[in-house]
Amino acid sequence: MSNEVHIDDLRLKYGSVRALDGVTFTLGSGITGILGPNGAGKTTLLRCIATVLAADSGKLDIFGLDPDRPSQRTDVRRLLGYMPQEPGFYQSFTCFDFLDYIAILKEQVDPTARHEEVRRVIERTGLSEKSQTKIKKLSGGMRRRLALAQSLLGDPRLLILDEPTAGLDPEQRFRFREMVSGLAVDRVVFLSTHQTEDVAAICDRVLVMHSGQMRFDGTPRDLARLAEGRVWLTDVRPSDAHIHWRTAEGVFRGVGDVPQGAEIIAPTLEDGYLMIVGAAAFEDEAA
Amino acid sequence: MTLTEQHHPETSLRPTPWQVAVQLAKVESRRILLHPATLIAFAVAVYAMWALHNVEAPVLNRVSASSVLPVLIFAAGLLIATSEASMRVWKTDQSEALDVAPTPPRVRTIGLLLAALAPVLVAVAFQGAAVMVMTLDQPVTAIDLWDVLAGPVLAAWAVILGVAVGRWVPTRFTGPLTVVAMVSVLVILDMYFLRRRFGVLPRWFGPFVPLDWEPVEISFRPTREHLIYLLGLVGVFAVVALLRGPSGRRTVLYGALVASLVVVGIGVQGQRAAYALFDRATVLASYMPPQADYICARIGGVEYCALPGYERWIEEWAANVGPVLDIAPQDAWPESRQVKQYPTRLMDQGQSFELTYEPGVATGLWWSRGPGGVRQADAHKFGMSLGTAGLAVGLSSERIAGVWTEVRTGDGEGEYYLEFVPVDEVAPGVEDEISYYRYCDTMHQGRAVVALWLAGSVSDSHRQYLDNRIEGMNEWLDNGQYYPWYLWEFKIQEVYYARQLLDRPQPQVRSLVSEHWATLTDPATTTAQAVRLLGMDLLPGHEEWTELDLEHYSEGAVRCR
Repeated sequence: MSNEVHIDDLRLKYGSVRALDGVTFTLGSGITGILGPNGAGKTTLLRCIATVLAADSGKLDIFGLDPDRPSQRTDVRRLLGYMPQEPGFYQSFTCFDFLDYIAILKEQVDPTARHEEVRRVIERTGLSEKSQTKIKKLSGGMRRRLALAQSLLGDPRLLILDEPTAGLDPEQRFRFREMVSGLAVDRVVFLSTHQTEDVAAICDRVLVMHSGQMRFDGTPRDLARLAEGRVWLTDVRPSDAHIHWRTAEGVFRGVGDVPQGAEIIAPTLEDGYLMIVGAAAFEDEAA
Repeated sequence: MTLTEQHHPETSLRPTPWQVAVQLAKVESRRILLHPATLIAFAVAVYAMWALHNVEAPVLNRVSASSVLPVLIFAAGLLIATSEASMRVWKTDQSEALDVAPTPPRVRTIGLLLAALAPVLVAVAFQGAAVMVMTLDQPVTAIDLWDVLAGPVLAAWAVILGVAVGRWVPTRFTGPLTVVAMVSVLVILDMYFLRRRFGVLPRWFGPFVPLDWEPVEISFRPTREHLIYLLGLVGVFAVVALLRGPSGRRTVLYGALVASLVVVGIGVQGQRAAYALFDRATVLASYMPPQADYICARIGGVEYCALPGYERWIEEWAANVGPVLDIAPQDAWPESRQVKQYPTRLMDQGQSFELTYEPGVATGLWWSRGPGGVRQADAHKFGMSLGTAGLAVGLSSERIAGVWTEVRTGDGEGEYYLEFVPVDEVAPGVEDEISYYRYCDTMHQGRAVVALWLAGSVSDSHRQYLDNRIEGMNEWLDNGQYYPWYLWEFKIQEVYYARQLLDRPQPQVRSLVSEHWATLTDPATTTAQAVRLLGMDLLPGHEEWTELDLEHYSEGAVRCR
């Protein structure tokens, strides 16, 4: 029995823009994060896996099911929880009512069991106090929790989270990481984010995407190692580094060729990500 | 075991689409019913029904025809709420969380369509409650069951139309614009030129069969056939809603669409045929005296004759006529003791019918209702008693009592008067078209005081009615500053004197009245003379005002003989 999601040479174009350009990888149990700049194709990829979008070509295999076939697409949908960037809330619904509605759409027809399930996800996402609050009165952070809660209904085997921490303050992000970390057992969790800290904190595996192509596939540690020996500190602004910035201590931190006299320091996951994205940006410019 | 079952251990328990649709229907029906548009519309509908009941009841043939209108208001709210709910189901890219759920839009649409059941039940309860209240109010005529059934069907009709338009045009303006369009259709259909040009054609097109411009008694409304037409439309709208979006059962849907259109056709053709078969002349003849299909009963020596459907009023008439005759001397109203109903309002509808009145108290189809059908509280009862009292004091033997028409006084306030047919112009057996505002005048005749006393003696509510007429005027009467303005055909001071008599012990007054009956009922006896005979004092200024009155009103007035 397959417990994996296979993405094979997935391609999709929006006009002349290649949103997905031969993406191939496999997702297994655990949390996989995907990093990439805006427009890299992350959301398009997630929407394809979530069966919202159909790719132009390539193959998707989700737990042995082919979402391109209408009959199997419904089966795939029974197995997945999807938290889109914009869940499209019904503003006049309360949290409970909205989740109850989604739970029905997820084929939970026994009212008692369904309500219990709704209460379970509400509790899990820390929304208990807001259960009867109308969605239009929720803060941005609470709405993200609600979006996560609806994706958790039915205990899906595949959880796809698109920018789940966008708009959250540091404390909320910390809580979110805790929540998601607890979900990974025997489940495929695939999340996109801009936040490298999120990936470092909760992901077993990280993908980096740029211009519709997969540029990296490995562990967060592997990603950080890409910048090994290429992250440095210096008192003067360098002229030839890929990327550099002034730190809170007033020194310059850079990623790339090490300037003379600079102090080499241990790289972070973000440094590795910047190495890839920076290099890709140079390639794009050159192209 | 299929692949899906391997992944989804609960596959064997997986619900059918119908089970999902039913659960969705429960949620959607609750949301539709609690939608502000629905709640506001329902409140307005309840008010409208209440107002209608107070205006029209207890004459059921009119009420049942009009009771669809409040449900239409409710339906408008439902349409707005449902189109919004339907839009929620359909709008893609707005709610990806919904789009990836295993329940397809088709099932969601079915859920919404099933949600129509709850508003239908509300409409049933609403109509049922209204009918029950009307029934408790001792109504006359018969209710049209098909009319009542049209209410719940219209609720379903609105919900399903809301789903259809919401699915095809998913904007927040769709519902309100559809309501505006429907109201426009109703207004257009009611236009005179359209009716004149196309005859019955516009009538079947609308959501309900409107009341004709003819009186309801001789109007024909093919409500049963129209209900079939409405049910067909419900089917059409439902299929149109389901045709939006992917569906693997197009053939079935197209088949259902054809079947629904056939039902619509049957409804339309049925209505047209029914109109064609309607024999208006025969129905009209059943209301036209003297050959009308009267239902008569003799109670306490008085014969009461009601037109078809109105026989339940006979007891009410008797309750307001009998006590007057019990109090009056035995020889009062010696002949033609008859209360008869005439189709007077039929003539108000632009028809020029000729009526033949017989001696006795005459009343109309709109007894208990005034202009516009407005319920008259106790006025109609007092009017019936006063008409009888008028006959008892020999005022006239030919008159219409209890038909209330509107008179505009100088200050713009509406007043109602008891209509009397000019004595000189109507004789038994003589046909005449009634002309309002022509009545004989009992101004300053003493028998007016006696007639008012007799009518006021019937019950406490009758007495109260007189009190209400002079309320606030006592001060004017006491200090002689009263202005002798018209109050029916009596003067305010005559009401005042009658009221004084009512405060005295009835046996005492009755004895005095019996003793001086011949004098008191003589047209030549003035109010002042009657007051003295009955042992009362004249109001200050009575004589002067009488003189002024007689001068002022001497021209054109027909004195009652």
